[in-house]
Amino acid sequence: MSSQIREMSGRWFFKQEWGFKSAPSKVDFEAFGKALIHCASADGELAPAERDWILGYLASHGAEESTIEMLSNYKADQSLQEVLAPSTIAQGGRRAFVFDALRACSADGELHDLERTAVTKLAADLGLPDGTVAKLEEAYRAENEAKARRIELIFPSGVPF
Amino acid sequence: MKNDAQLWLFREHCGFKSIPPPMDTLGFGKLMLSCANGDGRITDSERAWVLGFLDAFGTAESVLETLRTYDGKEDVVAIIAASPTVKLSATSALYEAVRACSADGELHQDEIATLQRAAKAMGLESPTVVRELIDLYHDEQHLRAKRLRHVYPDGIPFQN
Repeated sequence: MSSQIREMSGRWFFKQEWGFKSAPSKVDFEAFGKALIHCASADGELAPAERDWILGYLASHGAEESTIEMLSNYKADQSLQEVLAPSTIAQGGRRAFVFDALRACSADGELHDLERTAVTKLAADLGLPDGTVAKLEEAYRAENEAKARRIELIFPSGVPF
Repeated sequence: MKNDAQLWLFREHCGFKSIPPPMDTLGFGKLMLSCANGDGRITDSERAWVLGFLDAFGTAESVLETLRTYDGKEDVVAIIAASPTVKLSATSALYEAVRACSADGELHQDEIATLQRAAKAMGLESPTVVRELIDLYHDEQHLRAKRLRHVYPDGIPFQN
């Protein structure tokens, strides 16, 4: 993917999903990706569907190839504090980290209790108040249900691919 | 890497498990822009939405280049007649056209009328299909706005 196309596609995604008019830096992409892998590994393993979700998510949002390559080999062997330390947006984007961690952990079809615990710990480490995870999980489920209704209307006989 | 990004998008947005074969993205883009032109003009936001959407789904640069200056004045019925793949993905194409028409913050009555003409030309005879798609779009937008309020209670960053 050329860098120009990657940037255009990334900008479109950030605007669609998050209302951003510009994209975060490479450092933030890396910290964000590591934090997501950390949470999704909390039930003892990073399922292939979870890794695919995290890497695909970041790639579709404009992450550089070197970032994707680094993350594809990342073993979640740092603490969350270490992972998030270089990020310039960890403070303002705390709830976004938590929301995307919930999405990544659910990518294999199940949000395991240990994953929910890890996401709750992430939220606490980020200084978010109690109840934040429950509120964001509810928002995630509501969006997922709306998406399912749309897919059912568009593909009433089942998705073709 | 391109495949990682596209597969994620097809899974996340459409529920697909694999990347579908190439389709007539030029016809698809023309349909979206012609619907957006239903109210007599394609705004910058609408065109940017269509180009960004098609780019994200892996559309060739030559097609994007054509659509950058496409005036959207073709009849949607003729566009659909000339593009079997657009007709094949009828409901999906209509839904994306609803999103494209709404990208400037307003879904004009004349845009809705154009969407309804397109639905009929695609063989979607139900008079309510366009309304159902618009309602679904509004539901998803409402939930997105609610999420953004939860996630960024002090305002959305990256506004420059």
